[in-house]
Amino acid sequence: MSSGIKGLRTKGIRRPFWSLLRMQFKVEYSPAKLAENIGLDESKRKYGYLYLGLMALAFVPFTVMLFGLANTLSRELISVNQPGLAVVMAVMAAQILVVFFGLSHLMSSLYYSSDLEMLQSFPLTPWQIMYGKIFVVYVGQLVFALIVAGPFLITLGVNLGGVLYWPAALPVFLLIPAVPLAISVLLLVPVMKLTSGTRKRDLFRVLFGLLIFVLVMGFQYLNTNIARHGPEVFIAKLMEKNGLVSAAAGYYPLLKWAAWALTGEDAGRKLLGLFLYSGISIGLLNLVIAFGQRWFLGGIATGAPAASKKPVSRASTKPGAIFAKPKMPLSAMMLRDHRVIVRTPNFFLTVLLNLLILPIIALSLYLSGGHELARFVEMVLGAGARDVVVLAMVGIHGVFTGINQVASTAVSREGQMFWFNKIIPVSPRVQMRAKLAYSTLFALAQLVILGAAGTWLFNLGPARFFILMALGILVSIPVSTICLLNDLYRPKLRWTDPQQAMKSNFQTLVASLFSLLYLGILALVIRGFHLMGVSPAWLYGISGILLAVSSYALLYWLDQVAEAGYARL
Amino acid sequence: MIRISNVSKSYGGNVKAVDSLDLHVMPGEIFGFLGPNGAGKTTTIKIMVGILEPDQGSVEVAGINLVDKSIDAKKQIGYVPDEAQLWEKLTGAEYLDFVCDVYGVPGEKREPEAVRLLETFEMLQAVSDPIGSYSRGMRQKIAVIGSLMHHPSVWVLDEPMVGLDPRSSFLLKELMRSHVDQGGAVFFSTHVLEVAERLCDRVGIIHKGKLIAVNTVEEMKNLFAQEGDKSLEEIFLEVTGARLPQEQLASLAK
Ligand SMILES: Nc1ncnc2c1ncn2[C@@H]1O[C@H](COP(=O)(O)OP(=O)(O)O)[C@@H](O)[C@H]1O
Ligand SMILES: [Mg+2]
Repeated sequence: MSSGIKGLRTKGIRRPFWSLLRMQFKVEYSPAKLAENIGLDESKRKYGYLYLGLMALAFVPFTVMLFGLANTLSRELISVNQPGLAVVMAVMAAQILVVFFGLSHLMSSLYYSSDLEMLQSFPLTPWQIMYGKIFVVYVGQLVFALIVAGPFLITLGVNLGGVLYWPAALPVFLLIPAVPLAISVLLLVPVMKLTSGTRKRDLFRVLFGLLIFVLVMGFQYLNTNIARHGPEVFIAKLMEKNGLVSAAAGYYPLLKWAAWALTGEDAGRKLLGLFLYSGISIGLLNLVIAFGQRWFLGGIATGAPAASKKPVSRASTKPGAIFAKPKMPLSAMMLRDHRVIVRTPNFFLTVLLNLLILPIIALSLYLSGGHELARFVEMVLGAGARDVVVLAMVGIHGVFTGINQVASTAVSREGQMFWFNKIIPVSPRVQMRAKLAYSTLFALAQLVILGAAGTWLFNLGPARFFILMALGILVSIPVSTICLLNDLYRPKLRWTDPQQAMKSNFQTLVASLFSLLYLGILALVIRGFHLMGVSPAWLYGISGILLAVSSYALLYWLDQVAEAGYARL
Repeated sequence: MIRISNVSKSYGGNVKAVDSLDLHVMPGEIFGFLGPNGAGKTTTIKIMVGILEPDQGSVEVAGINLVDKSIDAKKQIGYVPDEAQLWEKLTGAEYLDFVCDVYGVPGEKREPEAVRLLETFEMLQAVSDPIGSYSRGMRQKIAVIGSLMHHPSVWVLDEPMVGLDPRSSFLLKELMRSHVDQGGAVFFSTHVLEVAERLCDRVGIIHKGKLIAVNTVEEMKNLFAQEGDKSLEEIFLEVTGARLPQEQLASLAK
């Protein structure tokens, strides 16, 4: 009997809640899972942490830079007697990041994870399930918080000196995700509950998520606009010790308390700050969960994974309505790709985020003084500024096409169903072209948004808008082809969770690097002509020709390898 | 043991997946829940084990109301889902350990019970591998083992024979029998009629969300015996209206 099964407890008992936390943690952050997330194949899974460490090494230059920046900033702020401002900025930046990433992480973990049904069948309370799920998100967000706030909090501590800083800095850091996650949960739970019965619930949910993000950005804009008090007030505040802290914290006192906790003038102020910061953070998160758990399960109860399944009336489905129009293989394949994307919540979320990231960036640019942008650019670049902007935007569109993950996961998304493509009587060449056409169409949608935003921000006018559209289409094709080629050579077909196929597919990173390389070379060539004093009209022409020629070459390549690529899979 | 009273459930739309269902499963009996695809079997079972909340009606398990005292009620149930969505990154043993923690099985009792069940299903070798590497049948088996670790009084299985090899499927039936011999109750859904015919004490047939017949296999046969000795299959086809008219059969054969 005592042979012992590894992993099975032989004495005593663990509290269900702890067991749940432990299990969730293992499942999300085991070496194998991490290795999978960064795209390692099965045999290397054991070394997940090792590879992760190596990946982290790649970020060393970035981190060094951030530390340097933080160091300078904290010294400057200490010298003008405003050290608290460093805390405010660090915590604020990290918390905004947590709202942004935490919201989608919470959504997928609380409402779209595949183990929810199983957990509900176990004797666990909704509170326990919810807490377990949020714990996992919390730990993940803490990593973001460390990357962003870590350098600032650490260099500030070093520059301030004093030992008592550190025991206060630790809880301040550890509690960074608490309030942003509480706010996210507070907004998410009712939205999920309200939309759970509706047909287009995934669309609603994503839109709500974006709305929340825009609201947070708007609040943030109002909140940090220190200048709203006028310059005299600003100068006066600058004179007091930490005078800017309360101005920067604005309507959001948590930041002020964090600053007190670490840089308050005396021990009493520090303790008060720490007490208020920790108390409100812990209290708010727990309060929100305590209230949220009542409605939490209601948001998933109607079978989330089934996506936007139309309730089909049993008697009256007319097959004729579905089968009415026969389609060409090419458009049939495109339609299928489209349906799979729209109806797989995870794919849909990724794609929508890609579409909407541009308007969001444009909006935040505008809010932070972007209306001055056109004038500023003209000032720096001189007369031909707008043409340079157009060419730069073509390049930016190329980059966005490369990172949008639609083309770079076109084969991977098929997953275990890929065999189907091999047995149908449609040649791989046509199939790949269908995927290319779909990816290009998607890039086109992005292009229109980018063009509209750019024309608005930089005052480009109709003629340049059309040039931008034309060159934009031309750049979408080769970049999509590069991404597609990459995915054809090394697709990730063995996945169980759609997340693995698209959002966290390592190949998308590789593909975007290849497309960056291509775009970089083109940009260098055009820049060369520009330096030689070639006129804008010619620059447009040369870009167009270069793009067209490389498109043709890449398409030819794709046609040539489609057959062989399929045979290998 | 299981009492379902007037339970209805619809998914958003106006079609009821389960429609005013009343059902009572006694201790010591194996109850087979039959119905064609999409009849509402899985929905009923998910309501029975507390995954879905019914729009109306109530469920009692071993005399405990599933809504009022859901934790106590769920401790009485062992549930095997239709498609075992298990944690791929856990090993079989870690999964069983987690299940034991959640159901409050003391550490001392875990290993003997696990070894007994794992040996029965020839899973002792694989138990240290991650579930992600299991075949469909192996997942089904580990889910079955997990559902029995805490000695539930009510055992609920959704299409449990799917994916099992003949030997495992035979063993599963033996386990069901011994479970009810010890005073428990078994409720399982299937569309494989021979299984139901040989194994069940009583069967219920669900069609379009409505329970249209409940009886012992014997009596059900008697009921439909006017036109000679019918198999359960023929009864099933008759009551679910699946019998195709002669001309339609002829056109299918073309
Ligand atoms: N998550 C869901 N969303 C919408 N409709 C569903 C969902 N799950 C099941 N249904 C519908 O409910 C009905 C009953 O399904 P189900 O209980 O799974 O049947 P069975 O298990 O008997 O095959 C079917 O019409 C099915 O389409
Ligand atoms: Mg079913």
